[in-house]
Amino acid sequence: MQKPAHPVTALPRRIASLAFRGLLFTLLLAVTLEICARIDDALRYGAPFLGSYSNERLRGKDPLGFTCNLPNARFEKWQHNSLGFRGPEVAREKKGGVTRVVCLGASESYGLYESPGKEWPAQLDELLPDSQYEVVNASVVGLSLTSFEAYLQKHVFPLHPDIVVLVVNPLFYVTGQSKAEQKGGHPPPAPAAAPPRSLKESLAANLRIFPKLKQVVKQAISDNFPDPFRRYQIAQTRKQVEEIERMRLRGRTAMEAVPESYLENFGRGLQRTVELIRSRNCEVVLTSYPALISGENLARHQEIFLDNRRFCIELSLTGIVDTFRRFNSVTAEVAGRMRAPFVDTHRFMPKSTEFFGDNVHYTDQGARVFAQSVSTLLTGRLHPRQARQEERR
Amino acid sequence: MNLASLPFIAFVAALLFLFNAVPARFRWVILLCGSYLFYASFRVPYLLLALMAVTVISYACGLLLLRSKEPGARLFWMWGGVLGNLSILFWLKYLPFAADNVNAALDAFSLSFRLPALQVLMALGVSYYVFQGISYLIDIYLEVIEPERHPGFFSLSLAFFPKLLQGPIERSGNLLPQLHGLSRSSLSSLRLGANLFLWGAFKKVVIADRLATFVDPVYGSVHQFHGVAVVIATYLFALQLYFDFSGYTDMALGAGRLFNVRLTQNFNAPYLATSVADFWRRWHISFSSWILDYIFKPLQFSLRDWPRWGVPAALLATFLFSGIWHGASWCFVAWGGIHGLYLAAGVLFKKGRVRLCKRLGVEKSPLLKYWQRFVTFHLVCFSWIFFRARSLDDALYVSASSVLDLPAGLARLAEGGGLVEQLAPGRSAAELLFTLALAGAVALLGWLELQARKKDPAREELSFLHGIPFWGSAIAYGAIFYLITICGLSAKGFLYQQF
Repeated sequence: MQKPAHPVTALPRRIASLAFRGLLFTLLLAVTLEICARIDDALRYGAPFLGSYSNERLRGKDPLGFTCNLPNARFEKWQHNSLGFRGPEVAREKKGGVTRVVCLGASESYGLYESPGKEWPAQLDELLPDSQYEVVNASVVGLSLTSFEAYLQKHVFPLHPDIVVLVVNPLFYVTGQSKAEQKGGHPPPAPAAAPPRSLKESLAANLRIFPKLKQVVKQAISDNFPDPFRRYQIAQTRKQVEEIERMRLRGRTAMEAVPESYLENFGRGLQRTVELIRSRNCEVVLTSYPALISGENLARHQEIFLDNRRFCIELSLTGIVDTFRRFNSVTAEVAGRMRAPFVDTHRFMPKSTEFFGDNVHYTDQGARVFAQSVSTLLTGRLHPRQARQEERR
Repeated sequence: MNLASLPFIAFVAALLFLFNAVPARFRWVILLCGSYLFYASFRVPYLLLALMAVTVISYACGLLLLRSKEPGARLFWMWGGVLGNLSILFWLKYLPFAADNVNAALDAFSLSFRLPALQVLMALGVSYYVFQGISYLIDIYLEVIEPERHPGFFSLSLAFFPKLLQGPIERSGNLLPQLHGLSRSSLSSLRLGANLFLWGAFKKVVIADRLATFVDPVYGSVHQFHGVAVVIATYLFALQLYFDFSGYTDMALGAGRLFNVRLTQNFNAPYLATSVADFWRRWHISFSSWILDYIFKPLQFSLRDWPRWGVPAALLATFLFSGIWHGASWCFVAWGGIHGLYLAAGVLFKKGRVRLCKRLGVEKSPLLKYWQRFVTFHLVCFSWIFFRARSLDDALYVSASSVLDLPAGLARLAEGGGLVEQLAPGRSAAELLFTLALAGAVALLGWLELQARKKDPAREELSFLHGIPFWGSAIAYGAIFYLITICGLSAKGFLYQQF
């Protein structure tokens, strides 16, 4: 007969057994969650079951070193056609009698918060008569005015557009100019090989369940405890901003206003881009750059504003507001000088979170307003090219 | 505070900690304070007042019934309590509806007098605890139970938070003894409670709310849809309602079980019913047994001198009442009336049906049961049209279009027009199939459990979840947890909460 274990020795064994079972249970649970996440991605987005899955799949570098969209790439709701543009397939050769409108901008035009098919170029396509217009969204996340020329040559002009709608992100321009100034006018050197990832970073990059759960928890907390969550978010973002300021500004103070030289360079650069496009017998439509926050509603959307600062640390809060205001007037001036049609989308866009997902990206409704204002210009007035001919006459 | 939400889970966890930390004699205090706090979280002060008023009326009338020996006095206190409770329900839920209808009647007679238009008040959970209060008083009057002398336990029996918003409508005879003997939560009660809660949440946020995304657009603007679309939307609504309400019930039962309180199960595979009467023995059981005991039986007794028509009339009246209980609208009255007619017809033509089956030689055929289930399901689905529609006009349109436009819709399907395209343009068929597959899996597991419990009635709920080996349960919990958190839709209010 088996001797019963001594109670004193049996207890640690029992605890050890329980701990082992608990650990095994947690491990199995975590593995199941990860497998479910991968099956879900595969079914929903056609993601590979094995391997990492991130938005890096969408973009790559072209031979000139500029960021561009990868053809046929897909990540979650974002999907490219065979030419690397967001939206349905487009034939390189356009149909006769159809005006091809190419929309060119950065993430605000590529689409971030909008449901698929609701980014403003897609909505513009819906609003314009199918038989007369074809809209192509050639935007790339992070595209700045300084890269426009090369990008237009390589990716847009082969499409033989009739109209190019330009949306120029002023914050990217300021950040780029500031960085160039710091480097004495030279472009920043290519970054050294990325340092090896820590285990935590590597897990975070490869496990698909973590970002999903994080998003769910964040959403649940913000839905149920909006005020404490907002306070927490502000505090966290402020910390991040301070950290970035320490690393990037290195004792310099953030700019309270945009330097005049930046504005002059921007005006010249924009004018060059317009001339380049026109040299291809193509019309340009310029738009102002809508932003949610102005001096008046700053306190209401503090967390959004702080978040925006992370991407343009060179500018202070008042500097950001000043940037949008002054770059928009430069864009309007260039449009006037060049006699290019101008849509003041910033003025049309209501300044509320119903229309903005953050400071510069739109919701479905915001994208609708943007698309409507561009569509009104294209259809409500003379065709831009005709308008120019009229004026010449 | 929605049951399928993070704050509710945090609230239950905190309450559970306190419940188990305090001495046994204070456990009811924790549950009572927690229940009032839960009700207060909806930030509608008059609801707390209504709950307290129902508690005071029922408690006081219960004690007065105990002290009164004269039959007249006992009847007085019983009716006093019942009418007192009903007046609260009427004030909160039916006053605007009554005023609107009185005004419409005055208008019809060209009278200029008008009652003031009243604002519709939020009556969250009121009809459930009012019914419990009424049954408590009638049971004391009929000497089925003794009145509760402890005001704290009695208050808790009405306010116990898992069943406060949507029932089950507990009988005091079942609940009060459990509240008197509240013991510390055991590991098995915690596990079973958590399982039930998780399973209920799965039914609600993964299946019901996903089905709602197909149903709501159709019933939101019925005149834009025809034939196949409205028929499918009605079938989907039948599933949505079941998964929504049974999901809530499982969550309520699970939350109760965490505190060692067993609440009444409200469902028993209702869509497998072989007749409408059978359906009502399986659907919202706590409510149907309530109307059977406290409305139908007294009516049947008072109409006993009317041998052929007494029972059908009692059934019709009972279900008209059931309809109006569900909501102050003519749609619900029509829905109740339809069920009343089904049941009355069932009684009136019972002999004829038996004779017909005999003549056809199918009375012992196994196929008869399937046919009966098929017919019953469709009769119930037809009644759901009135339950879901926003107005009688919409309900009549859906009923007519389901028949008249069906051939055209089917022809379009035959030509290759997608079903989902007719139902929800722009949505993927895969999403609907995925939801239906999950619903099918849940239904199959439920059916298997039902079979197992037929053999062993003492078996616990969800035995399929805790009967599996250790490693299997980790995988099952992982999959369910994933589906709830990631694939589940952000939970909307429960359908039966509005009643």
